[in-house]
Amino acid sequence: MTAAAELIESAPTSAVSHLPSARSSELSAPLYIAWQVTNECNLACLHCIEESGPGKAFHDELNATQVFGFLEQVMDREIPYLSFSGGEPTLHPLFFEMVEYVCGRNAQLKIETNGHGMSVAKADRLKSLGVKAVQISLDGASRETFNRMRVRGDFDLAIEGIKNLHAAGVPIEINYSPTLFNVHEIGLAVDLAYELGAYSFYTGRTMYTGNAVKTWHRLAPAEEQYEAYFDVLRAKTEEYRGRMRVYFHEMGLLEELRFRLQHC
Amino acid sequence: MKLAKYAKFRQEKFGGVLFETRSERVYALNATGAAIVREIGAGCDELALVDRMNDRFRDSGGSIEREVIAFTANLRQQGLIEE
Repeated sequence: MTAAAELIESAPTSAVSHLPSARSSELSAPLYIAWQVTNECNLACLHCIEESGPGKAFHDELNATQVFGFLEQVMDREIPYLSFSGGEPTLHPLFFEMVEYVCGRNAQLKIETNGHGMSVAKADRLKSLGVKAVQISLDGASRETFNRMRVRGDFDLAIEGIKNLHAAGVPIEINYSPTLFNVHEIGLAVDLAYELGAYSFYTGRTMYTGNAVKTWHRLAPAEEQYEAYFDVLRAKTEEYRGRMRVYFHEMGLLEELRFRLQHC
Repeated sequence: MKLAKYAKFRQEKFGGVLFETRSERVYALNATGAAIVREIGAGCDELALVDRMNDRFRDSGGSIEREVIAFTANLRQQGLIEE
């Protein structure tokens, strides 16, 4: 052989990993596309980075021809991994057709949803279409904290959606955004995620962008709260090792951007 | 032998990339590694793989067999291929 076969692993992150820089600039296409398919949402969360909500669909969102033209380009470039988020992606009128197209072209697809409309039938359909995972936001281990964060949201509906997905056999990821009023529940939230059948738990500092800019005084945990938060997460990572992956980023948005500019 | 459910391969000018989407790990492959993974993706078993690599790289010293076996063992260990 002209050279030994080599397998160079990149460092995993809570988002999609990056190749060694010498290789990433040579890629023919991205490896991952995160598509916010609509800005429409049934909730109006205090921290939403997209400022989504009821009636907030953009007036120029793609029509059916454009949607499937875009997806065809993505699939033709062999981009192996996509996520659909929003807004609430399941509210998109073509949601299931889009899922069917992507999975039918053998790409891996993750759905990022609030899970409120995740009925038994929808969960079963996602399973049969072969989605890679569904990520549900669960910003609290109790009705009180969850409903305070997720304006118009309902903790019980989110839990029901997760249970429906688990019963259908869809891999589940849980996402948690910390605030000064839910930060103390992180340990219980990780435990709850495991009890509900999640295989991954993701969290990090809540970002100062979107709705959070307007609500920051009601959201932002103090630095000492964050220190305790990450201490719990370190312990939970060990507690659930081999059973559920607990991923967390300790860097804030600006800190991470600075780090990536300097090191990636 | 086949690529694992969550492993996706794409050919690149430098060789290829293997993306394990469940763990979200990305692996870069050189041209030789990419050739092997492409054959595995096409359903080639280990013996046939050695034959094909021998044909392709015209090796008579046995190093190809050793390298293919070591490389596939590495892929298996990382959960990138399955039987």
